Amino acid sequence: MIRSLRARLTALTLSCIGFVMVPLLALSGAKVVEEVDELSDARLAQSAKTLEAFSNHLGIGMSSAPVEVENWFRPKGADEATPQGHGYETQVGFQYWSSPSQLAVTTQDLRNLTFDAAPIGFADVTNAKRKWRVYTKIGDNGGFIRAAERYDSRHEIVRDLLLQNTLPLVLGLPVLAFLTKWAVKKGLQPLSETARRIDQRSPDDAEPLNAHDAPDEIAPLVGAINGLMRRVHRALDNERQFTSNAAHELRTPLAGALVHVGNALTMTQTDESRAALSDTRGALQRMTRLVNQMLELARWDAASSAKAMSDVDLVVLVREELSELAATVIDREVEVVQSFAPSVPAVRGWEGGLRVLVRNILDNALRYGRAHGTLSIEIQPDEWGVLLAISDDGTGIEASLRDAMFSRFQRGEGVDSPGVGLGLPIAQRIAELHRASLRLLDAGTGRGLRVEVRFPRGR
Amino acid sequence: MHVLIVEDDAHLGRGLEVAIKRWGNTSEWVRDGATALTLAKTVPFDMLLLDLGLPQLGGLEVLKGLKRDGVSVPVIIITARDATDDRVQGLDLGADDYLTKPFELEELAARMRSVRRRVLKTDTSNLEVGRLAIDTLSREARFDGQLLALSRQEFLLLQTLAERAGRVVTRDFLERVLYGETGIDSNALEVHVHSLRKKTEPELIRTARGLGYLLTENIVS
Repeated sequence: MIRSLRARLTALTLSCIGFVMVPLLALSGAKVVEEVDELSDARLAQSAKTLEAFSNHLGIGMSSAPVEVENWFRPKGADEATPQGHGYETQVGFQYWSSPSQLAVTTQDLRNLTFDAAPIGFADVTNAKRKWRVYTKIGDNGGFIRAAERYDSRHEIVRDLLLQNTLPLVLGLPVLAFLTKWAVKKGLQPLSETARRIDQRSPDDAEPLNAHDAPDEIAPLVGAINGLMRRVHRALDNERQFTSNAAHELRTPLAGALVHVGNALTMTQTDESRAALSDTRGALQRMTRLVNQMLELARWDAASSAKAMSDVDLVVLVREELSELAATVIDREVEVVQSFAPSVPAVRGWEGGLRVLVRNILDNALRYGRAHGTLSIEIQPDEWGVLLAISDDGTGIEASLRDAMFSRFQRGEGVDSPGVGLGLPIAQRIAELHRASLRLLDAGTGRGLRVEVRFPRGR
Repeated sequence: MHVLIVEDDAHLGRGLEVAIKRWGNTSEWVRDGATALTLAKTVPFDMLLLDLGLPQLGGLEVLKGLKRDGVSVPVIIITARDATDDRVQGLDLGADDYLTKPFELEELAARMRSVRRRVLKTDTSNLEVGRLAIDTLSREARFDGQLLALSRQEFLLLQTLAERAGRVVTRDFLERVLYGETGIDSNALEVHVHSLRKKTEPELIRTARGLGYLLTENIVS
């Protein structure tokens, strides 16, 4: 079974053409043979009658020894009518018998043909190892006129005719095959068009495929795909909605707990209970971060790249986010090194999303970088668009473990205040929505991690 | 000041009451929008802490009601929602600030102080940030009530930072303010900062290396 519809259709169409054309050709060939035979027989009879007319007037047959006549010239290779003759002339011989025992005139090639070799009328005989068609006629003056034609020269005409009948078809067949292939491809274009449309869809696109545009034959398929997509999207939406609702519902009790712990911390006298409350507060803060990141991820998971984007100045945005994180920069006594190109093209995107992306990467760099260390931020135009690179000088991440950092709830190790493990997945998702690439690399300074985000050039 | 807490969650409401009392204020706590609206119309509260997700009459409806009845009271929205639309709508309806749950008590205290400062700002020449008080008219700065002896540029630097207390002010900006666009030996700024720290508290002005300086809102003595 051929797996390609196109190949199947082409093969089937060509087979059908062959199935009809081959018997038709055979039939018409047979007809040609028959017609040529009849035509030639008629000509033979005509020749005999012509000879008879001549013989009556010339009085052939008086001498006792037969007169031998040379065969006439048959022009070779000349197709059409020429002064010398015609290409379809055949080897024709004749005999004149004044009586059944007296041969008066014969052409050389029939010299050995006896009277009895052929009956009166049409007959097939073998003479000089060749097959001949012979016509014998009783003359008005009692003589017998005989005209004969070699079958092989007759067949030559048939061959020519057949060849010329078949040749156009033989030559046309490859053209026909080519055209059929083209036609099938053209005819199946709506199919590849639909396939292309399905292929190009982003997974967030819940919009059903237009079944009206699709050809009738694949409309049910498109309908089935739409149904499947609807179900998948409903399931996805439900999950996202649940995550979002759950996180939202956690916010108020968390706020309550934090307020109470805050109150309790100021009222408590003993160091022990202060420490316990401090730890409680730390845990609550961690939970707060987790809830916020879960909401962030749910929001960007649900976002679709179809949302309208605007031009965003990455340099301004990064500077603003750095100010937001100033408290951490101060606490960890980190030195921030900014190297921004003098002119950086705008990035096409959603400011809110890019803010979250930049904040998450900066946050990680501060969290996992060395205290008293350096945080380097680079923004440069590159051949593709804009490069944002943020490097820290912490312990970095082993190359083999980097991919895993993009899976949700995966945390870096060996840090006092580990994140909740959603920062990079969120950044990754936002980068994806911006058709940007996010990569984890060595910082190049012997230690630390370099996060590179490459944005495509804005329109 | 007298604060109206509008919060339907019992734990959070009670906690806020305790905290506000701890900060030397008084409060009333209601758990639904309709009561809050009635109460706000009759009692001259100094501030309203408003949850958006209230039963029946929602927080945004309360804001609309206050606006309709011409009740002017500073409002800080406290909500579990974080959709930007809600935030914009809330601020459009006259809310002064917006805090997303969960939050640290210190954050709430800072927001309340800042809103209060903005509302009470009748005399624009006075600037108070924690233990620091600046009179921009007479060019006097006091720390813990003690008059500081400052050069013209030190005063300008302190004022610029105090006006943006809690936020990082970039070196570039400070140099522009102090010396104009011509630019100077970058060391001069550090000398001034150092001098200001010596005259107040080392922790008052903090360095974000590579970024700029930040004046701490409330430093403990």
